[in-house]
Amino acid sequence: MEQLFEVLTSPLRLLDILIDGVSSGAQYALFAAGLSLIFGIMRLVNLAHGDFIILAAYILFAISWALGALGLAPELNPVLALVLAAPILFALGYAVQRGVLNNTLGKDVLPPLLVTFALSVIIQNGLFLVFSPDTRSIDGGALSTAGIDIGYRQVPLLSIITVAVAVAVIGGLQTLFFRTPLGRDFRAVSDDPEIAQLMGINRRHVFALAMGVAMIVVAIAGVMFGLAGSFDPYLGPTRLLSAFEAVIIGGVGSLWGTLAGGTILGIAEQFGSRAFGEAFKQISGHVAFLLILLIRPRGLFPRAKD
Amino acid sequence: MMTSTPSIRQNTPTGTLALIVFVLAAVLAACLPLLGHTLALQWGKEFLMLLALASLWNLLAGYAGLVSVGQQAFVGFGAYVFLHLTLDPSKSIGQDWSQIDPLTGLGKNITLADAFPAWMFIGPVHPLLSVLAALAFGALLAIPVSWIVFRLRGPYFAIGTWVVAVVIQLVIGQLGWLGKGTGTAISLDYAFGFGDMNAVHSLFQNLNPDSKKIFAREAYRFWMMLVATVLILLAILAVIRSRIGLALAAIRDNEAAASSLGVNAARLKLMLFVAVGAATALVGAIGAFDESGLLPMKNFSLLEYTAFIIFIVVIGGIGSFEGPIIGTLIYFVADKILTGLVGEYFYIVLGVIGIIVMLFAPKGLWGLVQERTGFALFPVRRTVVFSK
Repeated sequence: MEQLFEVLTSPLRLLDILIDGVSSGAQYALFAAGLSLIFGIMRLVNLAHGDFIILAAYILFAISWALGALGLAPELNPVLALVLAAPILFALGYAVQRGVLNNTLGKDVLPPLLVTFALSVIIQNGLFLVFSPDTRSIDGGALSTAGIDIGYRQVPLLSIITVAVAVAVIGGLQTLFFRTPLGRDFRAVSDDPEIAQLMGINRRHVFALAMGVAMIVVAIAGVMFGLAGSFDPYLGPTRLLSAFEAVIIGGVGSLWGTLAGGTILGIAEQFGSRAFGEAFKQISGHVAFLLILLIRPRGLFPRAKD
Repeated sequence: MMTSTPSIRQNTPTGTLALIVFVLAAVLAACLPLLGHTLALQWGKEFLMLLALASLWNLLAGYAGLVSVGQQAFVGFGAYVFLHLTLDPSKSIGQDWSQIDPLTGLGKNITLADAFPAWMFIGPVHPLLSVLAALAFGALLAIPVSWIVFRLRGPYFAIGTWVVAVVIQLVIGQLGWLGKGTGTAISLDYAFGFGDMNAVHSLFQNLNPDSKKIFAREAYRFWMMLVATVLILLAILAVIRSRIGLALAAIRDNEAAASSLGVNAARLKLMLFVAVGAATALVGAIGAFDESGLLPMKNFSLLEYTAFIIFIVVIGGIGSFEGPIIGTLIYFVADKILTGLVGEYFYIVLGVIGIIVMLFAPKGLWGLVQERTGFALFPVRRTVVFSK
């Protein structure tokens, strides 16, 4: 109680909550953007989304480690690794969608859920076998420790970059979706897959491209996550839940909504951890989510359809 | 002219036979403790628990279309309700070093009743009553959970149940008297504070003078699990053979059409969710009655109480009564043989098989059999019979 009172009456502590909440919220928005894109286009909820993020982080870790061994500047390694990993993850996403997930889409909600759930178990244990259960992190060199002085404290440079990246990714997806020929195909198959098919769009190909794009977003989320802290093979489900909550809070189908949803989640967690203790960090985020779900079941910015 | 009076037949001779075999198997299983083999009892309990959980999940997902990924919430909650009722308020939970006893040089004992309000503890309660309480509390938990998760549809329902399970696990992990996140065990003394446990013990001692107390408890737990599983399976069979089963099939085929014919889909789904939650909590409570101790991470395991269960149901055949039974048999044998041989690869193999079955035989192995032969061990379908 004393702790709560102290937090509520101190403007600087509240500012801390805001700063750290927004930066972890940006990370959640990055997790959520890929999930939201996939659901928006093909009504597929990918239960392996969190594990894809962790898989991406491991791939980036491996590439970044290899680059480090070559003796390049460590600050550049994450960016280079991302450039190298993006095509790999795009191809992986395309292949998984075309080879497996396309065959699960339909009226029944069960097949996609079960198949992605199985993928989740396969990825977790595959990572465990290849990389061992040890925790890893992506080395960002000086980037990991740099900060900007705002008078009473430092704001990590990485936090600021994460926020900028999240805004850029969501802005980019929004542009892709509404301003490009590929985006037109995405919207067409999303609105009515049968008619889109009649109009000469290869639905299976477009869905696979969408998963490929989502995997590039997953790669970006993976690099930001891997730079910010350590990870192990079993962290996927927790990422999935954060991503899912950000999507629901923001309103299903709204890309900018995920940014709002992620931010609310991040601030709730920071508030909980500072006001009630570290053990309450996760609970606070989940409780905020459940409250919003009870008050506004369709989220803050629901799309007219769906 | 001959007139025929049509009548509706649901059971078949095979059905009667299968039911008789089922009852005989249960009676035979009840004799398992007489072998005096602890591992056999543990495996038996494990098998029954998987079978009960798989059949319950199948009722939710396969019949009511409620694909929950959060049933581990009820397994864990049941276990912790059980733990709570075993607690003795005079149990020491630590020492107060500011009040040192001059005789022993130790700090004054702090009991549960000192640290927490005494009214919270009514234990130790008899194990049978405690597991029944878990059943009731499971139902009580399912109601508020349904307020939240029933706002979500289809795939979002699935993740919603998962979030709720995580929240319940985290909250229970904060409760000091339940051991927090580091866990606590149910002592053997608790079990032997009751006459019937001692009676079971002396029964086994008559058979084998070396029989240990721990074996008597293991047998007691096995019998509880056996009775619970048999009752759960029979209840599920009764439900899917009844008007409720018919209504569920109608909802599954076309919810709008079913509603227009007077089926109250929302109420039916809620009823099933609550009933399955209660039964799942009961199974979780019985499963927790051993020496290994309770730990939120373990008792709320997504992998053990939901992921494996889903694979069992999918591989065996979702949406049929026989499916989970076949699935449990296959899974159990594969687990016992393969885990030792391939370790972590077992999960990967399981995942790959799950995907293959879902893609190429979405009704599972039992579905394949039924498609080709139309055969049913426990018939549910109603057939119109014209007799002269």
